[in-house]
Amino acid sequence: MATMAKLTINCDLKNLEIVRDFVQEQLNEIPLNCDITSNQIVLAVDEACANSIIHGNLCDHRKQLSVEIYKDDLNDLHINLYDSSPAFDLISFQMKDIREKLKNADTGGMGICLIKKIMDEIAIEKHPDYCVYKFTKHLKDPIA
Amino acid sequence: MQVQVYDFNNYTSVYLIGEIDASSSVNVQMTLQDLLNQGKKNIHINCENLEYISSAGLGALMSFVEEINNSNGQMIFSDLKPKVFNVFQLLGLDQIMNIVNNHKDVVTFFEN
Repeated sequence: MATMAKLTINCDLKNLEIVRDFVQEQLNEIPLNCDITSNQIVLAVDEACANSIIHGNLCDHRKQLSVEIYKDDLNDLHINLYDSSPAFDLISFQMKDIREKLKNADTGGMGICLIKKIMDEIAIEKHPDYCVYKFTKHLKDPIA
Repeated sequence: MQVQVYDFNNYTSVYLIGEIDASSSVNVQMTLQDLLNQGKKNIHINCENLEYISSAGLGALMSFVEEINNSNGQMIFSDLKPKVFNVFQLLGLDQIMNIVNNHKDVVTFFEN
């Protein structure tokens, strides 16, 4: 994997495919032990970007998001999402019971739930004009 | 992504092909809404060619489960690849949705 790779996209949901391909390309250079782990990481980044595009930037194509990805010497994968919209507190967010959601056809919040289940550490860095969602994944066995 | 629909005697199969994300999930939602509008109530979601699904895709499918149940119909999934099944597991959906191995099991499911 390159020391650090960075991708910038416009806030258009059609660009999620580009984000997934970018993350997968970086992961291809890491000896991950299974397809599931790789899919989980791609999924978490897709969910974070979709959340920022839809809720943070209201699908405004003029706005941009950047995704930065690198692995450190401790075998931790770091993914940083730079977003100029106000920070959303996904750390405190709690999803309702899935059975209850199904009953009410309520589909919101599942993306954040997935991010929190997949990533080992989440931090939000707030700056005056932007925020950075910082995700860390310890590269070991997949979760189920 | 593509969605293909096939009618059988007592159920309708919806084949999801490719990747379903927040951009393409609307196709799934429209297809299911059309089927429900036509009075179809037993829906089989075939995932043999589904390579990826995000929460938006799952949400599009989940949003019809209650409506289908209320009309005495059922929704069932088959042929999930392990990485797709894992997304269901992460959300606990594997415990509450009807999921079987293959199309043969779907036939049996709707016969009973």
